[in-house]
Amino acid sequence: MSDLVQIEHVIKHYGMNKIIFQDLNLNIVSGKIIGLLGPNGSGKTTLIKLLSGLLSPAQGTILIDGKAIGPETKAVVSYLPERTYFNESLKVRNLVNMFKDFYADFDEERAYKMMSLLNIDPEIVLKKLSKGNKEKVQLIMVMSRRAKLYLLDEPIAGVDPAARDYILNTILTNYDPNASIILSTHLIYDIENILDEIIFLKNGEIVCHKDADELRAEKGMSVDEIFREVFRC
Amino acid sequence: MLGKLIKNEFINRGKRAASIIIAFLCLSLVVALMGAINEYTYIKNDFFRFSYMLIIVIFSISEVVVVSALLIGALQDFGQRFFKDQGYLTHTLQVKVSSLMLARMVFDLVLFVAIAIIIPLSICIAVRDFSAVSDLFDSIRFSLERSDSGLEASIVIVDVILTFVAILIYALSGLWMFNASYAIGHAFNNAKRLMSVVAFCVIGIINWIITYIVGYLTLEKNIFDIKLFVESTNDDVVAMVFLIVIIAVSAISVAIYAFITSYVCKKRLNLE
Repeated sequence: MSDLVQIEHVIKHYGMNKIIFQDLNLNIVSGKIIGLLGPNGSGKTTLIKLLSGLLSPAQGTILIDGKAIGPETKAVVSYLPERTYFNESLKVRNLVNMFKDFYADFDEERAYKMMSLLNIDPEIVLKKLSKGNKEKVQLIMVMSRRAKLYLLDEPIAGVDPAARDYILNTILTNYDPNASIILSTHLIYDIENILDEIIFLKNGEIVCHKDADELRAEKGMSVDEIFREVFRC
Repeated sequence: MLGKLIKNEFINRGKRAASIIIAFLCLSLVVALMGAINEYTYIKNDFFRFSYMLIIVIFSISEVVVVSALLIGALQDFGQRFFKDQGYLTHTLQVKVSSLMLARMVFDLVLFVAIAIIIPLSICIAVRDFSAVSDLFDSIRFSLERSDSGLEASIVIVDVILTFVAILIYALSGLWMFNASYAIGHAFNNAKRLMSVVAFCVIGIINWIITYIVGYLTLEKNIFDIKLFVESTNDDVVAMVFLIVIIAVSAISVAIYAFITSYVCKKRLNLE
């Protein structure tokens, strides 16, 4: 399988004192669901922001689908941040139209189908939706793209267990098998069954990057248990 | 893609701006209506007079409030969509940063045109007197009539258009000075607001120094005196050249501010 993401010798710091990555190297292939796991402040969100083009590395190269980060990579990357990020004065239908305008891979039909399953009225203004429904709308928009790489930053944090099941089911049933998903979370128990690969990040360093089944077999534990052992305080 | 971005600007910002403008025009209609009642009917009790005076005061204040609300709204929207939560969407769109800036400028210009039309129009409505508009056209017509040739008449028309364009570009330059300062401040990790204010002061001081030097060289050394370069005794021609210079200088400053903002968005983006 070809490398979808190539990260080589990346250095990233905030100011002079806060160094996030000193020499990050990582390759990710197509067609995998990858769990980006680590405690708070380990660099998960920064890595996802670097891949989505929201941050630039101080040094090093990042290639997605063989291209440097820019409008071309944004065309193949679908990113879900860990916060609500739409203009809340807009109607849901405005958002659908906007995504349709700006992303060639956006599947409008799929978006409306998911909305009808969730009883979300496309004519409703976003600010009138509950927090949970806003997050669902965001997920619908992101997963309605036929992207090559999905970056999901804490998609199940802050939602109830029933909603978590819905979100994970939405992710699994809507992504292209040739695409990869990088999913950052610390709620490992909920997602461990869907993961193909595991990346453990600790203080900006990748301490483990393995196939999920291999890791479980090697340690004789679940990923959740391994995580607790690796990151024990 | 630029067309889609401009459409998106109108969807995102148009509703709020239109609401403010419509509310203001409605207020001017209320003032006009009360003025007509005051003038043509016998309702002259104290309550009516007090209400009429109050609405005139509110209308006078609201002129400033409306312009401020539209400009502050533009700045708030810029912050939200480029450097706060909505920036996560703005900067992951499949577009160039320069296109984002250009689309924003187009809407800003439309907003300024709307302000330039709405404020005088609302005053004319409120006082039920459109003679100011006809006076403006009369003065243009008078200038055209006193022109000896078709060329001179054309220069007068060009001067009027250039004056309007110069005001618009100058206003755009002012707004983008705020945008650039905001962008610089938000490139820092801490104290973003304070750094934005500092950036604004620094840009302001640089502008002041440049203006002072140009003023000094013009007044004392005659280096930038337009009359030295324009081989014409016609004041309209001199005015035209002067306006073109103002437009060019303002356009350059807009380009510089847009470049600074683009640079921060491309290389120093540091979303909250």
